[in-house]
Amino acid sequence: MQLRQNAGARPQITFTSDFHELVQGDLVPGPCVLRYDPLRLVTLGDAATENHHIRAHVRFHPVGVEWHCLLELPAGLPLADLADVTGQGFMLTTTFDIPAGCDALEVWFSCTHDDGQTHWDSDHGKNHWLRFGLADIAIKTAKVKPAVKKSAPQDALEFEFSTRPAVDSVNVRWCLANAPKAPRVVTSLVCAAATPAGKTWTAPEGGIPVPKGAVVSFDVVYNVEGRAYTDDNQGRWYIAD
Amino acid sequence: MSSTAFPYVYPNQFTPNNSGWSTVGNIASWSPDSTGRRFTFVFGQNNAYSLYIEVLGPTAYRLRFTPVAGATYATETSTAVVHRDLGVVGLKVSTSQPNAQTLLINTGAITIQVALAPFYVQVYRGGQLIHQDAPGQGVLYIPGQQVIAIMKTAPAGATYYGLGEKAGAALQKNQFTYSFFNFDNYTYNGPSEGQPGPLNPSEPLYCSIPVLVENDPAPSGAFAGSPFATGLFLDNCGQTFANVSANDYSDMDGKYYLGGLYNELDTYFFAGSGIPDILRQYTTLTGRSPMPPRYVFGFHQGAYGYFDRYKLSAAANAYRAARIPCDGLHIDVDFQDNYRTFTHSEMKFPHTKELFDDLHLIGFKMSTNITPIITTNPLDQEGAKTPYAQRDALIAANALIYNTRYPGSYEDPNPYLGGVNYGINYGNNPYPYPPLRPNSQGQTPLAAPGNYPDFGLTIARKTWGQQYLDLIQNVGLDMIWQDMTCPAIDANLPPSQQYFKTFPQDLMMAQEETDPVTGAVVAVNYLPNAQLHNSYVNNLLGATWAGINAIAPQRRNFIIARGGYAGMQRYAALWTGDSASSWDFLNINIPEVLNLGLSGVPISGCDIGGFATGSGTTSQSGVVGGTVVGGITNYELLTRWMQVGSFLPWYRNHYDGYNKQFQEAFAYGEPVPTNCRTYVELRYTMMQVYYDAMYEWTQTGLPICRPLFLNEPQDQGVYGNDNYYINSQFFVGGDFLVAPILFQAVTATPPISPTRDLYLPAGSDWYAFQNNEAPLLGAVQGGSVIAYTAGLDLVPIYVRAGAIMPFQELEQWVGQLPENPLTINCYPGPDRWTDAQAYRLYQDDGITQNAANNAEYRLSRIYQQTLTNNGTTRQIRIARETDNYTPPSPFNYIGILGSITSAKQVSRDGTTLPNVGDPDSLQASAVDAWYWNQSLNIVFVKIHDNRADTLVSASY
Repeated sequence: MQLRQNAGARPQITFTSDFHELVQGDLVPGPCVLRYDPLRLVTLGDAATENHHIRAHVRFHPVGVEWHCLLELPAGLPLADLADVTGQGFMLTTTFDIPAGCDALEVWFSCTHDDGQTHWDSDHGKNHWLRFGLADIAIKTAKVKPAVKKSAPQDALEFEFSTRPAVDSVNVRWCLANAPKAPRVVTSLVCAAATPAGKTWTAPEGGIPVPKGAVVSFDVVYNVEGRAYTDDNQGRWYIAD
Repeated sequence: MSSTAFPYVYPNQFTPNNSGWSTVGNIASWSPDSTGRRFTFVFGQNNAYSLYIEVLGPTAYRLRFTPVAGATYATETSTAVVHRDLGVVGLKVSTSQPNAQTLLINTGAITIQVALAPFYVQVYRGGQLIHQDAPGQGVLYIPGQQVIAIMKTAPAGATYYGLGEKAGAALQKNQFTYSFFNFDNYTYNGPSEGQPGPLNPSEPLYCSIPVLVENDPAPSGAFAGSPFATGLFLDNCGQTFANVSANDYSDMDGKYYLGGLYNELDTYFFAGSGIPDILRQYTTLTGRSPMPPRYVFGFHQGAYGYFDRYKLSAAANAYRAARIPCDGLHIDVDFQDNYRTFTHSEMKFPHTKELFDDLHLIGFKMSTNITPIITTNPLDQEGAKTPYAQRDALIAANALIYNTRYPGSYEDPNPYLGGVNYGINYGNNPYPYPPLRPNSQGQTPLAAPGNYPDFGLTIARKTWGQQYLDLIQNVGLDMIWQDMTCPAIDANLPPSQQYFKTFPQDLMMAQEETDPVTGAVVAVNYLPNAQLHNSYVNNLLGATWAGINAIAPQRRNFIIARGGYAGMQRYAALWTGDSASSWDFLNINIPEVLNLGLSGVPISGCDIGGFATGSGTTSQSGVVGGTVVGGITNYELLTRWMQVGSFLPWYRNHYDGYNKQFQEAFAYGEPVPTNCRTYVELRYTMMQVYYDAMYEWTQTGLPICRPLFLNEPQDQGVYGNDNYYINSQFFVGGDFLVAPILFQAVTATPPISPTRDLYLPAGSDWYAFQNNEAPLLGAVQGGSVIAYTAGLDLVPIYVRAGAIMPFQELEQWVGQLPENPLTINCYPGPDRWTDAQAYRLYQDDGITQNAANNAEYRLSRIYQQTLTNNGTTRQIRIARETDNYTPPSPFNYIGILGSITSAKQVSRDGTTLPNVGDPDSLQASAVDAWYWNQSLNIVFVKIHDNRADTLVSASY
């Protein structure tokens, strides 16, 4: 059985200055913390000399409602002072409510400056689409199955996932934890069944050949409406049984 | 019910000074028990409530109130209290009722005056009022809830101390408000009233000790009379609070309170003539440890980032090469096999046993981080699924916490799954942590999911303790670094709840009820962590302490812990958590450690230089070529911190090597190594002073490092300059006064002079400390303020006239010299010729249990006096009181300071000794002898250690 980190935990979303978007916790309706590093939109030098107004925008899918919020930079405290030379960033933090029935968040940010210009953090106009792997995927089986014949040269890696019906494809990125120099492999799972309630995905028939005694760690990349999402067990990875 | 059912409550949200709280009101009846020391008072609707006052000694009582109907008080659950006998043998407690509404409980030393309608407690010593409830308040509660508080009158002029561990640059607790909730408060930026940071005392920190010490050196008004001190301890392991006349939500002028969200109001009151009386009683109640290993008082170095034998060996060898003494090396979780607690990594530390053996040979004592997490990661460092014996043992003992939540009747069959965050490997650490992998930028978040033992259970504590076997017996570990003690958990909670960073507060955990007489466990309760939170660490430390002592019973063991609760001093010393490299953190170091000493914890200290980066970090760090570059702590800050740390009980430089290139003094350019070395060396040459002060603590509870008023209770001048002196000066032991520079000067913009005012307490004369490297200057009269300029090579230090200070030869580590003679420095000044005035010298082997088990120690008193009948004669007497141990050195020296002329004659027990004329001859002399060092104005006398009581006289 897979231990899934933070199942049931309150969600939080973090936009880091190095342009990572981290989704943590579970898709639990109610409060969700949003952290945003203003260095994504404001340079240190500019922050010390100009006023900036950063706004967060969230659209909840498929509900369709939106939420907008002004993320105020601290008055009288230039960003250059807060984000000190040691690299300890400064996060603008707020909380919004995820409505019941929501399964995806579309997030973007804007920043208006004194000169009337507006800059956007919107993934080049596509906006940031965020989903929760804990809500989209259930891992029913992930195991290395020993070959029946002792003389067989390889064992088999088997998967069985169930997903929301909106999931279009599932790829497993796996590697051998006990052979760290072996390259990581991406294997597409096969949709074995699809019903209005969800889909079932499995490894190709016969399983994925792996060396005998392999210990497999993996994460999952899945697609919904053409967008890719990653579930890496909240940074802890999954380990096949 | 989710964990939010037990929210963190800010100090100004806990409001017993507002209306809506109930008082005890009128007492329906009272009765003594068969001992005649416990008095139960019945009150409330249907007479359903009761509380009791129990006299524990001549000057101590317990007031215990459970705010539920029908409380029986039949059992105990405290992890703090171990001895409730504070002098009951022979104690005669009498009662009288001068009128129907007043009960007087007389102990012979104090009278507890209990008004019965309404209930109201006052304490008198003789006819002097020394303690009283706040009028109309006193014991407070809200029926139907668990909240409790006790509101007291704060006498005019009273000052308050203790309440360890708290931030803030002020030693006094007056006018502040506090919260006690063991919390992983990284860089002290946790929840606070007002701006968070190290200067804000309202934040919860890693250790919670809700004991408040009141000092009344000049009582007035209703409390007028002789000086007195009191103490009030609230034994409650849920979140608790203290407010000392802070008007943050109400008018608290003239009052203070202690209170809690859950559990009983279980308070202990102590009275005395001074703070030492309070400390003696409090540390009797909550226990004292035996003498620790002597190496504890050496210098220590730790780093998160000594991740393999090469890094570790490089640091060790560099210390020896730089001739900076060092005893302890502390290796973080890097030492483990893929974050499996209790394991070590032969991949990163090949042939660990042999490595430790080698390091032992050059004097190092080894420590590693043991956190209470037991990882669920099935992979070892090789990426293989291999057994994890320690986890298996804890599972077999059914010792892990289940994920059962309050309230509900559902008992979850699965262990609670938490996790710990160890930061980020930016590419400097090349070792694998499967299944963790670097991201596209080469960065690997370091973390481990895991379960936690339920230390409230005897079987869990016992099994936990057994898991140290491999590290101690097979690897050669010397001491334990107990970390993440809250426990710190990467909780993935929103900021409004990040104070948790620990167990969900609704997680059900065990608490054992014990018989108050036999100590036997009579019941096991399962309660939400909110009610037990602060006790988790005490149970963890107790489990470790019992375990390592069972595994290595022949030696003295030691734990340095990051957290605690009242009573933790029985098991461990404390470091004050994740400090940052900033001048603010340097400034709070002294008040924080001194107040911990006033809270019963004798050994504590800060991560010198700061564990984390901070405003005193001079450059951003990054990884270049697989090595951390930058993140350097300002050299002036590091130097000043190394100097301050030299005089505080726990002396460890410790830093985050994943974000700092280095922080060891030897790694800086000159003059940093030289300036730091000077004070590390001083630490080693005055090691005996710390050891003696520690011994005194084991007997009296007096801390090693003492606030000015503890040694100078009558001198109001110590509170001068808006308390600057008590905030920034302290004593080591009785006579050694340190006033370090705590501000940026030479690297400030623009630079300023490193000059500070220091106060020399009245009633004594003081000598500028010269470390026997220069003659004493003239004595400075006490009561003086001196503007002292101290460059980076200097710490302002004064020694009391008449002091006796045993120093020893420099070692690079404790025990390096097979024979290390003392030099007993005798400063000119008032006589110390009575037993009470004499210096107490404690000697044992420093490492085995022979002193504790077989009384194999030597306790001597050292006296000195000056006779002026026929010329001047300085006399020094050394008399053994307990004499079951012989130190290795066959001789010692006496330094008679202030000998501005040579002695005419020096004799020992009536026999004239030869003047050998120079130090080399004195050292080589096979017989008792002396010489006068003209350049130092010191007569040095060599005496062989062959008499139980000896008198040395130097005539001038």
